[in-house]
Amino acid sequence: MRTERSRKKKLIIAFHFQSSDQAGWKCVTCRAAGLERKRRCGFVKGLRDEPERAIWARKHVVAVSCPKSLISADSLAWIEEFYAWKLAGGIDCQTMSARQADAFAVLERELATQRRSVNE
Amino acid sequence: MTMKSSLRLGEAMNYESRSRVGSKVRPEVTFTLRRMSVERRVDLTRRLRELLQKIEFLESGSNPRESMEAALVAAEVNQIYLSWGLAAIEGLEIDGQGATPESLISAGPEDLCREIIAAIRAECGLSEAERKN
Repeated sequence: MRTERSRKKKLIIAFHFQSSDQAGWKCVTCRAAGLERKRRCGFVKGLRDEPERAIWARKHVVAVSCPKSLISADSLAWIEEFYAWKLAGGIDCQTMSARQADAFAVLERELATQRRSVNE
Repeated sequence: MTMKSSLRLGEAMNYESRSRVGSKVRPEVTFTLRRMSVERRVDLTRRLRELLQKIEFLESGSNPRESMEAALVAAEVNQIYLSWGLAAIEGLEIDGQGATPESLISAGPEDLCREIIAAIRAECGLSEAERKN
């Protein structure tokens, strides 16, 4: 259950991070400024025991470690598949696996939230 | 404005999902690459994303150990590109046996591997800077 929740959370962060300005999150500039520990980079060892705090936020989404290192390949693949599915008309949910349907439902909701906030 | 098409009504366009390329470093060799598609792009993202991210992190550090680790991960990435993108290879034998993508990876000539990887990366639409990773 916890893994499931964490997977969904990562997917939501990935979706919003992908739609945001990522210029300030390049490893080369971040490390040159010595920010990797401060930003709780996932590639830096020994940070797990340190207290969590908000590192990145956009709308209702908050990441407690560097979103770039937090986002999994699976999340990005779901996002690509989701947009391909939308491009193809967004139909035929019957043939989807449970995991795919679940991921697409999360992304559909986040897309709707994003569109609503643009219109407001 | 009217548009002309060479296709007649009822005629279908045939799209080749693979492309054959002649080697420049080993002129006797021809290799076949799988071309990019929506599904294959997703598959590549799944296989590579985390490794590419790790390379970006390691290469941005100043520690020599990290540079070495980055080179190791880069080699792993190249191996994934090869197994993902190379469909067939002709005109090459390795230890007396017709080469396959698997045998090329494990025992084939490095210069040919490098050439094929560059062709696969170009097929993926990666820029020169991205290809360097």
